[in-house]
Amino acid sequence: MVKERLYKLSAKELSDLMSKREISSYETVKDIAERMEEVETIVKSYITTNIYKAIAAARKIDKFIYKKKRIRGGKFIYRTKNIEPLTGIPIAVKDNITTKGIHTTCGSNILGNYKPIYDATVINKIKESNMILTGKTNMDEFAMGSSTENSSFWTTHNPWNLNNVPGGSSGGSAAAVAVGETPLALGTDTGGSIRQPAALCGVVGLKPTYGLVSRFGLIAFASSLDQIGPITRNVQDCALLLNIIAGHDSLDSTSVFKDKEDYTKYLKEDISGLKIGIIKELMGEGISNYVKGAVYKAINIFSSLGAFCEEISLPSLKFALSAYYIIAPAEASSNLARYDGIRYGLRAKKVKSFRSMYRKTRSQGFGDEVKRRIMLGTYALSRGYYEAYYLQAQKVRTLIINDFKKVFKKFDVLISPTTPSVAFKIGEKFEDPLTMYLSDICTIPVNLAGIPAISIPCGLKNNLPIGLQIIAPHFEEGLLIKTAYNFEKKFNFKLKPLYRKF
Amino acid sequence: MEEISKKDVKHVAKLAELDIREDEIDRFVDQLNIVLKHAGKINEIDTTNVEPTSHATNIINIFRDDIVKKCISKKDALLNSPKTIEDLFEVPLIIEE
Amino acid sequence: MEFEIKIGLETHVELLTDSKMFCGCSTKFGTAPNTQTCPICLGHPGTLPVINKKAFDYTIKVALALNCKIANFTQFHRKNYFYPDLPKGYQISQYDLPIGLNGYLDIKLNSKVKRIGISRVHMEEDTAKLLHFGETGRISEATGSGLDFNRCGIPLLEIVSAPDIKNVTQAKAYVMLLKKILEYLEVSDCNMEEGKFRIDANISVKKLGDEYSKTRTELKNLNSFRFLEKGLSYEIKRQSEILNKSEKLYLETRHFDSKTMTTKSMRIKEEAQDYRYFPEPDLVPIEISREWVDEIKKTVPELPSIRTDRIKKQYDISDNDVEIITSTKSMADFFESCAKIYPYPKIISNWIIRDLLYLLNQEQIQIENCKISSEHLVDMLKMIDTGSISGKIAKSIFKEMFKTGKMPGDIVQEKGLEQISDIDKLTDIIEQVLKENPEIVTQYLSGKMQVFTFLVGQVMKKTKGKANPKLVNELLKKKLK
Ligand SMILES: [Mg+2]
Ligand SMILES: [Zn+2]
Repeated sequence: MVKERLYKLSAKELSDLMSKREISSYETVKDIAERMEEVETIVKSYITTNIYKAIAAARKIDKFIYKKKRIRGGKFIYRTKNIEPLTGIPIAVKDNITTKGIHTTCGSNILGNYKPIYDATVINKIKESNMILTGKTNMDEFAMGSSTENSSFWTTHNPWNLNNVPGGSSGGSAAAVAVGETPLALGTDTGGSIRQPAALCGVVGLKPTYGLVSRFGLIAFASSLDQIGPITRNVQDCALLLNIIAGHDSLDSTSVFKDKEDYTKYLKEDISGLKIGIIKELMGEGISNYVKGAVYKAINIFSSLGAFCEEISLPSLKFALSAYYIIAPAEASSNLARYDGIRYGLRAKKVKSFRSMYRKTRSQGFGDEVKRRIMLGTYALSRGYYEAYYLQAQKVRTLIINDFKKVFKKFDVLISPTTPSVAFKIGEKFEDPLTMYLSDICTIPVNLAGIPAISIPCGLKNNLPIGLQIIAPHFEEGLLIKTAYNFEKKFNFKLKPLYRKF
Repeated sequence: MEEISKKDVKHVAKLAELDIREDEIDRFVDQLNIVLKHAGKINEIDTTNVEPTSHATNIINIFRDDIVKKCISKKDALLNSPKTIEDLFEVPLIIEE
Repeated sequence: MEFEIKIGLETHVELLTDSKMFCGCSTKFGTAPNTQTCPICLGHPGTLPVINKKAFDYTIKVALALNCKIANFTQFHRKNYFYPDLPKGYQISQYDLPIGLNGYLDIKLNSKVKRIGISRVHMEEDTAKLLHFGETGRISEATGSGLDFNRCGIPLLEIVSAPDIKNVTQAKAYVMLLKKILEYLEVSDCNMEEGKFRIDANISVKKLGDEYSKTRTELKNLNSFRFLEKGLSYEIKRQSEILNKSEKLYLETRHFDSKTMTTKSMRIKEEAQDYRYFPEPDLVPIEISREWVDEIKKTVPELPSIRTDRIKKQYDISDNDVEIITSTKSMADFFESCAKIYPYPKIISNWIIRDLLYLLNQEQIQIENCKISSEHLVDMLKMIDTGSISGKIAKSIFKEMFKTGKMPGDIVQEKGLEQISDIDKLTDIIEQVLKENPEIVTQYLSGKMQVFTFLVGQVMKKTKGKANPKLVNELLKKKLK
């Protein structure tokens, strides 16, 4: 029998095989490396690959997994019978999460040579869990974008159709998971940057509640919105990875104290009686008909599983995109002030004064979209405009939070499309910022409210995936996993790029 | 909302320490105006008596104890610097422009 | 022409915590450059701040001591501006909700009380140290600059006075009292040479009767009492002269040049700088409960003016001596700990003011680092009282204690300084002296009483000062009868 390629397996499947000692971590990483060789030059998911170190790490873990002990009768048994769920499993990490000694560029020229001197908290967690870092994935510069076209290095291609974008800003992570260059990845989500690329690449992406996953080591875009979350091929893997990255961190003041939960326990629950609200404002103008169609089909599936679905309205969502494009750039303009050419990163040549060092360094180091948002944010915070823009946006944010609170009194979860359409062509929206911004219209309200949401595949249009977004109240990730898992089982989506030859 | 002008763009660029080339300014003016026009919609909504939200959680009073932790080495501190001078981070002569 | 002067002072004080404001790096002064840093205080991408509780408590303590209202809700803001010493491109500071608001400080001048308003007390982080290379180390003559981040992120207290100060004398009195209070609170060592207590001034001069003018000078680098005095005087004179010539004043930032003792314009502002303050999203808001404030209140010691008044009432010493003794908390503490175990306060204060202060000055030591404790001094005073040492010997013992920290009893034993009070021994010596000085004895007996002290001196000399002077007097008088 021809052994099936390991890269196609989910993290859970790989882990089970490792537990039974049918495969090793080394074999897994080796097959991922081969897959990278087959597709990386075409898909371009990674900025930095870490394969040599990954193979060394896998061998080390294998020694631990296969450690034997002699028992009575001269037989051997494995000293460690049950290995931890994701031990020896490869993971790719978005390049805005710091990795000690491994380039972390944030997709930007300004950090082209930056080698962090510390590990992000999530990196410590995946290391402690004996997971294996395959590399750092491509992204829109400073996570500003929805297509990965804003990367200073190259554009990642959607593995479903190479002419299309993978979404963004975590496009590299989503594409890598979809095409088999890793079973698991970490992304970050400020306005939809996990869910939108997950939707466009046909994988699962979860943005946790703000404060559930430590931001220490996440290179800030908009501090009050940023969250790290899993990008996986299925809901089960998502729950396993969330188990590892969630938890309080004393290095992050906005990190929430909460008892550790095992999110896989929600995989066993059904959803009969679940009350699902369909967000009216995200099912109207600007949403493609085929996307609405896919959502209606999803509603039928939910109903067949015993859930109640009903349309509801959150009137303030009309203003979410506007508020977001004030708040996020405002915070970004401040967060990106540290790139000054002194302690790290690019420094322009031939500068006489420190003012010219700043201006030349920043102008050479940042791309157009980043500059645009810095300008926008600086303007929104500047004297005379603060009240009308920044402060008003913060008030609108309150209204959005209140709207969500209100509907969650009546509904357990809410659903909407993840994106208004399927993956667009590379270059199609590049020169038109506002149209590009509109691709995050469904995901942004969730970040403003700080609540969790998941995107799962719910259909195809022209062989490109459509994503369904499920939204839950604060810290109800379990509810998301339960709902998504039940849907996934019934819907039975096939991730074609995994089987695709390039 | 009033439109952003060329002068505004130059002023904002100065505040943000960005060099915007003369030939780029018009493009920035246009693009920023499009986005600001959309963003300005937030002023259509009545927010009287609405408190602003600046933090997405309701956590308060997070502190650390005054305990000294091990510092990083001087070598690590200077490791990523594009230019150093005698264990210091070099900066060009301070001349206000 | 008559002028009206308004001065507001902005004081930055480094707080005396072990670790920095937002990270665990040490705040130790004077270590090698860039050895006290971490990714957080270097402003590396991805790092986040966490507030030092002690620094926050200290700020409440200062705000209470300066009679401020304590905010019951507060948060931190980002103050955005670019400067090489500011690694994040913003300073984490406070804006519309400082910890302390609307306090005051009463200064005393010629026994009159003048109240200076305290607009706000807030906390922020210190910047890195910018060092200039070149022969003089001065900005204008530098050939290159470099940054040391050891200081970066040390908790900094900002105390802003109202523009209530009318002249240089008041300004000096305000700063001296403020410094004294902070020292009393033990929240900062206020070392001006080490830059831990720094003063900026806002000065505006207008013709009497003119309406309020918006022109004022923000004067930087007034980092000693002398510079404060010189800088303010120069600036008042400069602005008055301009007004006399009916020329225009500007809103400007000026730098005090300690070499020429003049001020130089750094920049003229058409408008105030735009710092684009907004709430720091990386830190959560803080609610300061009543209980918390009460807890801190318990740690506020008796403040200088109150303590001075009490000591004046409680002990029988001159007002002048009390002023000296309470000029620092540590000296007042020293005095009172002696007074607790020794009943003659006047004698204690005399020894402190005449002997201890002299030695401290000479050796440039702070009282809290000095080797003499209250036990040292009191033991010694008791030895004088019991006659086991003479007052003269005590002076040399005091010096020895100051140098070595040995107890007075040990010094006396080691050096054989015990007073001679043995009557037989003293009688022997007196007889010897009388024998050696027959003509003096004759003079005395013929009524020239002044020569008596000479004879005493001779006895003291023979005993190297160890003879009990009282006994010598008695015995000598008896012998000469
Ligand atoms: Mg300040
Ligand atoms: Zn530090």
